[in-house]
Amino acid sequence: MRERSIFAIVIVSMLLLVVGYLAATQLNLMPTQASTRAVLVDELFHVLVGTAAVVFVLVEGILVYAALRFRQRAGDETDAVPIHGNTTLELVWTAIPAMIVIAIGFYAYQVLTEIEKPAPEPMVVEVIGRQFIWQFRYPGEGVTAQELHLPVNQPIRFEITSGDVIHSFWVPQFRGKRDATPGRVSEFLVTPTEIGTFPVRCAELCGPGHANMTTQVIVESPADFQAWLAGQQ
Amino acid sequence: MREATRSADEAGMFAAGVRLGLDHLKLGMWLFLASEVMFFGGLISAFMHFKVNNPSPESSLLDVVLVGLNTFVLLTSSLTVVLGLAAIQRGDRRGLIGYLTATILLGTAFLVGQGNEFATLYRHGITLSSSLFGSSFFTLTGFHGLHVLVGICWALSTLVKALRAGYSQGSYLGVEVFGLYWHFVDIVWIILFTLIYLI
Amino acid sequence: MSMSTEAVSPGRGWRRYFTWNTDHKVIGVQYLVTTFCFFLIGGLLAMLVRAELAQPGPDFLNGTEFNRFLTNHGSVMLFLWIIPVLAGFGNYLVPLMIGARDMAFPNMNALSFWLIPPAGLIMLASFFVGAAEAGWTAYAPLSIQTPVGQTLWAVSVIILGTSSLLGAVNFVTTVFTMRAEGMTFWRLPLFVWGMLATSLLVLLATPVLTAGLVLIAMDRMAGTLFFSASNGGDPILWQNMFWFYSHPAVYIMVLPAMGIVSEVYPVFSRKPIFGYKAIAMSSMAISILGLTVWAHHMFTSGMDPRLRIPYMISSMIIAVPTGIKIFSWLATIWDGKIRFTTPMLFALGFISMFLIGGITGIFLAAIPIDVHVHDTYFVVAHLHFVLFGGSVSAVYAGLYYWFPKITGRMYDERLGKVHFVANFVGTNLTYLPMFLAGLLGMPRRVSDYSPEFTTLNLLATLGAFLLGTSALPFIYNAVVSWVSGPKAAANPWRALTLEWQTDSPPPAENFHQPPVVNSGPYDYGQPMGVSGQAQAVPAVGD
Repeated sequence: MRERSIFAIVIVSMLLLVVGYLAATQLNLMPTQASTRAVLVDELFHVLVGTAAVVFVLVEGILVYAALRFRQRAGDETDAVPIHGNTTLELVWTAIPAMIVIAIGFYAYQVLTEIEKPAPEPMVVEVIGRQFIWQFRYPGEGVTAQELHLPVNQPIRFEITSGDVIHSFWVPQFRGKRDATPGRVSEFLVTPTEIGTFPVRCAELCGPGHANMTTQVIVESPADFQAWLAGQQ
Repeated sequence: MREATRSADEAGMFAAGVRLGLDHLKLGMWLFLASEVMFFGGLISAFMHFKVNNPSPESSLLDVVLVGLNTFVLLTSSLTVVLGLAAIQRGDRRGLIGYLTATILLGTAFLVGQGNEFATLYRHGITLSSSLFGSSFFTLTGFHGLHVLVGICWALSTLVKALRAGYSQGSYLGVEVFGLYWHFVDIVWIILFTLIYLI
Repeated sequence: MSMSTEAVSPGRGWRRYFTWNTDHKVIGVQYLVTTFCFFLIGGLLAMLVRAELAQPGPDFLNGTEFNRFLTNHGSVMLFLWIIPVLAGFGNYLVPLMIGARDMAFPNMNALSFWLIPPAGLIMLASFFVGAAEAGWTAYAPLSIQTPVGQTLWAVSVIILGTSSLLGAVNFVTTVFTMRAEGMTFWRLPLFVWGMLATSLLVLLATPVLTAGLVLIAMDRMAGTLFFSASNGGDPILWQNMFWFYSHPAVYIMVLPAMGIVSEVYPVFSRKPIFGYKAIAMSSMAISILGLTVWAHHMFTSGMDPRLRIPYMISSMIIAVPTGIKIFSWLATIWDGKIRFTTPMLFALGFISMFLIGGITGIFLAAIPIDVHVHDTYFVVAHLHFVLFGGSVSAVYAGLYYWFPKITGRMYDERLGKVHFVANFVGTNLTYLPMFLAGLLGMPRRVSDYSPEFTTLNLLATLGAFLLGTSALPFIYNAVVSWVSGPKAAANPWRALTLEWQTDSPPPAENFHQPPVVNSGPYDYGQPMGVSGQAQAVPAVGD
């Protein structure tokens, strides 16, 4: 009977874990996907959320179950049955997490390689952070703006630097940021896929105006973009 | 030392009273020196970072021969510390006093030499704020110089204790621990000399 | 050798806590009480920050004031609370747990403590001259430009680092040279292992921060150019030096906390700790691995892309020894006879919340996700689950667990449970919404935010005020129980480790007779364990 109940518990918890995994991967916790990299990052994120949900439910479940099940009975002042360890069990809970994190690491590496693969003919946009504004330069066009305009589906290579302290260029909908560091130029690759207006935020504390160092990125059709560019010249 | 500790244990005596002896001061010193290695490691990393990535023509103003001589002076002072320790281990307190005095003089000579080098560079316009080379060079060698200065003060207090008949053939831990520090400062200098002047 | 007799000051009564006293128990209490005061100050700063963030738009703090409160909240909590409070436990407990009379260097021990109040005053006094406002991370070149308070901040942190370093030298030396007869390394309580692992980290990592702070201070005061980009200086150099310390610092703040809960679980489950050696060795593994992961804080800095991979892998691998500990703790309470005392509740709360911090750490280690959530509220939530849900829970567990030992009196269980519930709910209410805010696009360290984050921030602010309030029953309980609580027995928990085998509070020099150890620290349910780790009889004739 005891064995059967253990068996039942195992089956039910396995089912719950599978359902939990699937449910967790469906959770929408991220903002709009507005770039090619966003899709890949979100896939990785959802696999991690699913795995995390399983680990979370498992550990918290055991914790709560043990806490309820193994309460001291009133008046029982004796010690429990002493168990100092179990080599098999310890090997299992060393090996399985190790395999999980190695698998996650491998997957994350693949995603990283994919999202940082240089596009054949990227459009270059220079980003300069200054306390507390963003400047965007379109080299060759002679245009400098404080609002970022990008043509949709065009691979962009941002060349990011700073005129004073460290800032960090972040468009949450693009899923990624890169620090703007004085004295160096950092690259950041994005291909916008959604027409729309998204926030540009500074993610690195840069002084009293840090919170308000925001602007917007307007992703538009190539024709609209060209029209905007011409209007700026 | 280890033996003494163990036998104290076996005698069933109260740990602290017996063990608060030789062993732990030296262990404490070694641990402190390990942290000093990391401190200089940090400063050396900064220096090497700029030396590699922003090579400066100013480094040609460094006088390897004079500083080499100064290095020899500092190394000699390590020898005198060793000889001083050997002297007191033989029970020769006068020897210890003599060698400690020599150590202090050699250490001071090193600092004078370093001061002279700093002054020469200063005349060429190299200061803490003139260039990255100046910043990293003076910071690194300056902190080493400070450690030498602390060592000299420590040597002086060891000398005073020796003059007041403080050490003997069976009791010379203070000299030994001071020696650990002094050798460490010398080893750091050998590394600095190699990295700054030779390569 | 005669040091030990000089070392023990005879002071009695409350006045001794305000003097240069070399008794490790007095110093331990000095640490615990002083750092708790700084905890309250850090908490007040946090509540001011949260009040400003209750709704979008500027309310009562301008950007500069906000940054000052924020910076000092972080600095006070890390450098003046968690790191030193754990050193306080170490001071009180390590000599007792290993059966020693005192620490190896009692005067240096007193110095370690007495460096803290002036350093704290320097940090807080800087509010009068324009406090540090570059975040506790003090990223250059912002930290080179800010007002003079930033210099005071650097000086304060250097002093606190020195205090921590002297403490580490003392702990390692004490554990290596002062153990009672029979106290082998495999009989050390796990808290002592935690302190050992932490001390090694302090020794190797703190000096690098000190060197970095020296460079910051020199740039500010002596006109050096280390971080001046326009002169070829390199702001990234500071990040490397800073994180070389500050990532291991997280383990400095967590390993002793893990040690504390490892003491609590076996006692209140009446069972031996499961996998003693695995837990002890996991501490050492975390300590060593912890030195190899620092650049995972710099994935967005534009560092050499190839270097990022090893840092990602090493950061993820740390989950393995951490997992070993969590599973071992679960196996410890499994099939035990669990008593839900306040310390046990906080220790169980530790697992449940530290787990969230640990799991989200894997998200942050995965570079593609990190470049989205780095420097957002996701990170704020993660680190508070580790340090508040984790370390602070363990600190509370420890304060309740050893309260009868330290004060000789019992605390009030009912108030303790009220405290636990308020703290547990408050922690989750404060930090869970922050994960979502970060994922959805809210950067951290902002004094204002886009209205879309209003609900999440309001929840976090409510949680923060609940957390702040939850300290009140604790303070009341601690003060009243210390003054007039019922007298505690020497060993009210029937624990087996050495600190419980002497009076509550322990006499000067800790034990009436030198303890001799002939069993492990957690031998519950075994005949040997009944009499405790110590036989309070000196080994005669051998």
